[in-house]
Amino acid sequence: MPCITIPLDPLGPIIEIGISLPGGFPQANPAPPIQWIKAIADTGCTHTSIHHSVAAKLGLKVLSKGIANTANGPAAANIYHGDMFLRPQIGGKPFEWRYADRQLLELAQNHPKYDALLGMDILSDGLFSVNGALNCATFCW
Amino acid sequence: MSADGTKALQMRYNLVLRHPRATLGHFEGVAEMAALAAKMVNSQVEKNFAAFQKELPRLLGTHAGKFAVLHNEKIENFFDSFADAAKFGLEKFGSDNFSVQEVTSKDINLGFHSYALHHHPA
Repeated sequence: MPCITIPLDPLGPIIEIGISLPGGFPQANPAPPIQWIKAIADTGCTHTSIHHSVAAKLGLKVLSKGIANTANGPAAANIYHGDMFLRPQIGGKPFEWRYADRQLLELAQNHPKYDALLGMDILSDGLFSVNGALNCATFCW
Repeated sequence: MSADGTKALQMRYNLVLRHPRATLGHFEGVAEMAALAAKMVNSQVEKNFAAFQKELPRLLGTHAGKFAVLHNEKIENFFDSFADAAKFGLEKFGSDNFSVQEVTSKDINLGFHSYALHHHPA
């Protein structure tokens, strides 16, 4: 069972995730380049979201839209098509675990500490726990 | 948008991102990038989304949980997964020429971060 230990920042657990163009199944050879970015693991988010600058840099396509709740009421939000990666240690070595063909919601907010939110669409695949005493969180799936 | 136009926009993004003060999401060119990103949205997505919203109440009774492939404001097929729908659309209509919509009544919620979304009235 792969696990990732995530340090707790005052903002929340900040984890590194990878984003790339969809690589298909089986994955294209050579695989599309992966952009590694900081994300907050947030159980309050239903969907994993990436800042639009990440999508623009990678050339991800908007393939869908969804109705999202905002401070101003329901609004249409862009959804990109891409692959997402986590990097657990497997056998003592880092391994790029691919979530192929994901819906990635567009995040408009820019923040110096993170470019993405890791939502319940991923976290609900496993066990996400917070250890306040050790000042870290763990995600196992 | 043409392939040449999209490539030109991406080249411009890369120029902006090479700015010494730029990080992916936090630099002076954010507003410009947001405007450019909006131009990169496939026009099929916007048109198809409006058509899909009109059909959604009916589809919830017949295809809930499925993913619809839309082309020129018409639903072409349904699939069990987003990946299968995207693959079908790409093979049949080509890139930038279709969209995929999930048949669901559930809203997207980003919790604390919800205020950060672009607001385009639904």
